Amino acid sequence: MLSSDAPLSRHPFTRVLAMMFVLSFVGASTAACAVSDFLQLTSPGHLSLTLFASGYGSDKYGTTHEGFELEQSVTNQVSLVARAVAYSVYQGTGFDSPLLPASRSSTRDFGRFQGGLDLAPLPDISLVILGGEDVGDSHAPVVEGDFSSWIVPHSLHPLNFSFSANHYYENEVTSSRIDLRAIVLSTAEVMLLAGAGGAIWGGGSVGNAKGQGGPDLGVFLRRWHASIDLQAGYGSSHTYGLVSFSRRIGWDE
Amino acid sequence: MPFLVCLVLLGAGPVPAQAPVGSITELVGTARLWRGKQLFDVVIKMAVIVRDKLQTMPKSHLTVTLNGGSQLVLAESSTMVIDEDVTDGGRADSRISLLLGHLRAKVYLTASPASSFEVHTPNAVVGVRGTEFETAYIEGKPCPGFPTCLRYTEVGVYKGVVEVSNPTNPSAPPVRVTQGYETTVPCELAPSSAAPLGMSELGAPGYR
Repeated sequence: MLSSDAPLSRHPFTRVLAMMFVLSFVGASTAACAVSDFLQLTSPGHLSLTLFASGYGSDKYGTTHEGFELEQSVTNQVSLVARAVAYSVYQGTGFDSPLLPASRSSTRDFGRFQGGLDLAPLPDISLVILGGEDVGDSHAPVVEGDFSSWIVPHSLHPLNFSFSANHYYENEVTSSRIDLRAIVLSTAEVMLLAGAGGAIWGGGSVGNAKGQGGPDLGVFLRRWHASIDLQAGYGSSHTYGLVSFSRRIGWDE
Repeated sequence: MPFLVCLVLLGAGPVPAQAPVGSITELVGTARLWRGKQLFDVVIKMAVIVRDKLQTMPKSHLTVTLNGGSQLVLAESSTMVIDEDVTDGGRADSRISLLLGHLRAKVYLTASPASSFEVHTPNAVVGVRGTEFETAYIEGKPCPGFPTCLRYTEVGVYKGVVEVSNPTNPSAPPVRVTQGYETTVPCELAPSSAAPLGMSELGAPGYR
C-alpha cells in the first residue's frame, strides 16, 4: 500500500505501541480513582460522530482522504471506536492536482475500515488503538496507535503533545508523526493553535527511514465543533503541504 | 370571566405573595419549583420570587429572565436558588446559589457601577460586571487535575470578565477570568489559573 506518511518495521511499531501504553498509564498509576473509573460504566453514555477530510501534496506525490469515526463511551475511561476512510493516492511526478491528476501520474484508491479502543487513563490523556483492513488497491491489515496528552492544561497556553504510529502490512511500512502544539489564543468563538511537527516513515518497500517536518497552525471553531489544521514544511518528499478538517457531533444517551 | 381568570392563573403558575423578581421565559422538558414547602411544576411565564428553588430534570432546561433583563439558563439536572435580587434606586444586587449542575448567566447591568451580580456554589463565588458566563458545580466525580477532590466548580466566561474566589478558603487569592477562558475551583483549594475555555471539546487536536 502507498502511504502519505509511511515509516520503520513491524517490530519497531510494537515497541512504539508499548511506549504509548507506558506514557498513558504512568500518570494514571498515581491516581487511585483512575483504576476504578476503568470499570465504572459511563452514565449517561455518550456517542460522538467525527467527520473528517484531509489533503496532502508534495513534489513527489499527493493524497486525499475523507471519512467518519464513531465513538461510543463504555466506561468512564474506555470507549469503542469505529472508523471508515476512503483514500486516494496520486503517485508519480508532474501531476497538477490530486483532484485532476495528469495523465502520467497514477492514482490508487482504497478504503480502510478500523475498530478499536480509546483509553483515557487521565482526563488529559488519550490513547487510541485501532486494527483493521484495507480494501481496494490496498488490501491488507493495518494497525494504528494514537497518543495525545495535554501538558499544563490549567494555564493560558496549554501544550498538546501527540504521537501517532501506523503499520501497513500491504508494504510492511511503518509511519509515525509527532506534533507539539500550544493554544496561543482563546476567545468565546475560536481557539488558535500553533506549533511544529512532522513525520518519519520507513521499512518495507520504503527502505531506510525518511522524514519531513514543519510548523503547525490550527483553528478550532467552538460553534461548529470543527477544527482546521495546516502544516507545511520540507523533507524527503521535498516541499509539502497538509490540510485537515474535522467536525465532531455528540449525543448524550 | 372566572373561567378565564382561572386559566390565566394555571398558565402562569402559583401567585406569589411577594413581588416577583423575574419569570420563566423558556422551558424545555420538565422542571420543578419549590416555594417554601410547596412544590409546583414549572410552566412558561411563571413568576419567580426570592428564595424560590428551581430544579430541572434530565434532558430539560429553563431560562429565568430577571426584571433587570439578566437571564439565568439552568441546564439539565441542575438546581439553583435565587437568594437575592434587589433594585434600589440606581443600584441592583443579585445573588444566585447553584446547588448542583450547570448555570449560564447573561448579565445585563444598566444600573450604577456599584451594582453586583454573584453566583455562589458551595465552594466558589463568582462576581461579575456585565458579562456572560457559565457556572457548573459537580459532586461525586474527580476534579480534572485534582483527582482526589470529588466536588468542584467550573466557571467559563463567554463575554466580559469575572472574578472567582473560594469562600471556604479566604486566604486563597481570587482569579480573574476573561472571555474565552475558564477556571476550576477544586474543594477547598484556590481557583486554578485561567485556561482556554472548553478544551474538552477540542479533544486531541491533530491530523486524521
